[in-house]
Amino acid sequence: MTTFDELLPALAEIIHDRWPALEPFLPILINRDLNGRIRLILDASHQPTPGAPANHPLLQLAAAIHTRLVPHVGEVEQILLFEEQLTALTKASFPFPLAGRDGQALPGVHVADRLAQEARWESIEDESTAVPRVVYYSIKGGVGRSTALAASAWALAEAGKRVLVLDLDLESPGLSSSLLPIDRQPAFGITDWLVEDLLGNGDAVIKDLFALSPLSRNGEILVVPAHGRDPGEYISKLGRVWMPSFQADGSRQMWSVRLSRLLGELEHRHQPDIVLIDSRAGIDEIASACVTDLGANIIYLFALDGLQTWTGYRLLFQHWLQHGVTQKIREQFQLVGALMPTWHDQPQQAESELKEQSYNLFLESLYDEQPAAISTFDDLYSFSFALEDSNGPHFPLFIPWNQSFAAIQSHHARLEGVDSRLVELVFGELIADLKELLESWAL
Amino acid sequence: MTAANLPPDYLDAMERHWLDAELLFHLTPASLANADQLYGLSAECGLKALMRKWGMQLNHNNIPVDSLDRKHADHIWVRYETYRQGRSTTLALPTTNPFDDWSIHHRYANRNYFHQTVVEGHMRGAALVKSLVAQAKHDGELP
Repeated sequence: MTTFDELLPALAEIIHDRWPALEPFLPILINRDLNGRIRLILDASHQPTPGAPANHPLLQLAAAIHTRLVPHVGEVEQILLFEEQLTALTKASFPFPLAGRDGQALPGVHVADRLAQEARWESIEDESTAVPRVVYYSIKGGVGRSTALAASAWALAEAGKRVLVLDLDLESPGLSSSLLPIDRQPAFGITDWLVEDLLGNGDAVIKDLFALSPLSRNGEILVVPAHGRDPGEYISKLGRVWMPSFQADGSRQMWSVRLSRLLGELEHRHQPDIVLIDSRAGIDEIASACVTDLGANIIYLFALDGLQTWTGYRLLFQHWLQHGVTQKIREQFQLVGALMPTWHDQPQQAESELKEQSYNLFLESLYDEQPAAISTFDDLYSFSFALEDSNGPHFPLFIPWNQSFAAIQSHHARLEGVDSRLVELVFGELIADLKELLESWAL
Repeated sequence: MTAANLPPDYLDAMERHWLDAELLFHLTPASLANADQLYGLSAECGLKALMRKWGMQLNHNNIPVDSLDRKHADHIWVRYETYRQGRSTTLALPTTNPFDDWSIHHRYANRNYFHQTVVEGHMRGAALVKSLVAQAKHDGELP
């Protein structure tokens, strides 16, 4: 009996072993359905005629797959599916190449994965060019991500910037309460817009989707919460945000595209200098939308030095590697060492251990191999960094643990009247990085 | 005496109604009235293939047990979402029903009532159901 992880290696072997005979039938799209069942989709012109001999290469292929992959296939005659518009279908299904026995991609053979969710980690939107967008993401919750975002917004507003903050931790909302007192919460939130938009009614709520934080003195902090002052039937609304919407011509927009449209509308309406987005933690559908679909210019990866953190990031990085999309996203990443212990015998030791773990993670999946010598143009621009190279995204921005910001119920109360030197002491590296982004943007 | 109903094959029925609708639509001169009926029937069958997969019950005579399921495209479009809820959003339907102005009773009407633009709207609705069924096959919801 095969199990899920054995399917693709087994298929690679079966196809590889029949390689010359299968070449005339390329391209082949391996379809792995919602239940993990395999079918092969080929162009309709290759469909064997009824009564074709049993030694027809495609019939032999189907028989071999059936024998090997039960129960991950249906009946033998259901294994091959023939479609008229295979090229269009392939493009629409985020295919990735199937690696053969030697690890090299088998030309013309791709895998389409059908998932129960629509947002996909491997579909990566181009970086925003209108307004810098920064996503705060963590594999685990409770690492001080939202606090760091609130402090960043505060510091940028102190520097006179107009900051738009989005709480996209829809399943565990709360960022807005850190930046707004209860009586200043707006009437609606992102969830309301996503639900109204399904019926083309987004305009009914968009005007009341934000509130100005009283914490901003020199600049402005515009907060867009997950829900409004009265959350209403929040659970019922949350269960609908994933729906696609349909345009008049019948074309569909999946929910993350709708979210991206909302962000565009908010930017157009409020003209911020920068957008800070609080993502949901973990390998989650909302997180996937935040990290890959919103055109982020920087994605802060919050990390505690622990097995859970590195295992989680490794799973994601390997997924991008498998789908061949690392180049599209790796330059946006920046690791953040969160809640760094300050009571350690040697605080530097904790920092250096985290840095090393981070380096190993980036080295094995996102960094190019270091060229031995620079001999070509590509070598000059290879994406590779040494452990101590602070330009590398693995080189952490550190946020020391600080009692003043730990376990506080209301960041709003905490940030009100906060000493800017304390914010600088704790979040200085992060804030400097954001200011650098804004400076480079101005150029 | 009433003949026993043949067992339904909703997928095949969707396909054959579609093929015949296309033949009639592209005839010169086009047979718009009958094409229009067949586009509606094709969409109904495609949606019922998925509803059946998701639990629509048939009685001993192959008729849906629930009277709400014994309807045609103009009502089944909305009914389909009742069965789909909680399942893949890739198989969701637009909220605007392209068969709002289609009725099985139009089979009694004079052919001059059937204008090309209206029939084309129903053709698009049936095509959308066909692509939904193709998606369902890739997702593994239909064989």
